Amino acid sequence: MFAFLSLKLPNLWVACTLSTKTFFFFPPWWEFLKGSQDALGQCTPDFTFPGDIWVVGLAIVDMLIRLAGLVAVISIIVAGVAYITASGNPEKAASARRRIYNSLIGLAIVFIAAAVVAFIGNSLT
Amino acid sequence: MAQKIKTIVIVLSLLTPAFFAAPALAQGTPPCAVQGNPANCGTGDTGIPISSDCQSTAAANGTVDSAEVNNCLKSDPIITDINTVVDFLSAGVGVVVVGSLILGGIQYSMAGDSPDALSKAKKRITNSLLALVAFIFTFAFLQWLIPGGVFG
Repeated sequence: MFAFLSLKLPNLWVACTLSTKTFFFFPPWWEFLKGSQDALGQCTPDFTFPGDIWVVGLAIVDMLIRLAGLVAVISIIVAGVAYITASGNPEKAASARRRIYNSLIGLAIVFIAAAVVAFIGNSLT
Repeated sequence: MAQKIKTIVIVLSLLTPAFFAAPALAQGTPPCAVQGNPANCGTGDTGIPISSDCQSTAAANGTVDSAEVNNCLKSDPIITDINTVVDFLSAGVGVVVVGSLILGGIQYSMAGDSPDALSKAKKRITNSLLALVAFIFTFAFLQWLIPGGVFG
């Protein structure tokens, strides 16, 4: 029933290196895929259906990590501006301080998650 | 009400691998007790129903060891299909959990100073960690329950 899932087309084309150009700090979705030359002579990513879904998922996780860095930086800048413009108002200053604190905690969570999982993955294989 | 539905869904998803495994166990014991010629055994991928020749000979004198049962199971197309699906899904657990943890971190960063958004982010993080723990326990339980395991 699911035999078609493991269907693999014969690879007649030459292996090549895909471009790893980033778009606004974001890696392409084929970041961890291998490339081969197609009929038009261009380098295209090899995507086999069941096995490579999680490889693409890993690239999406990479995008999310970069997005988290971006969000944290922007949030710290916004909170810093709020802190500057608090101008002696203790409530506003406290709110801005909390904001900076929370964005730093969020950044730490993201990087600890990524690092722990990378560490476990490396020690398992 | 919503809490009840959530609980039911969680319990069912925890039990899903057990449902997968049930046919494996049901298939495993009785047919393996039939004697036959293993040379006539078809491979599991062709979709041809397995004849009685396919079964293990070791069961003839009433003893079945786990290696024989595994050989029996590996020649069953249903079992190989289930293995494909289970392997695919269990390979994705890590990726999905990390993605969800990172989403929780992004939520935490964007929460600003509102305690509502903060508690949502915390909830997402605890839930994804719970999912990881649930998967690990299901994995351990199934490895213990089923000879050879359902995970490739």
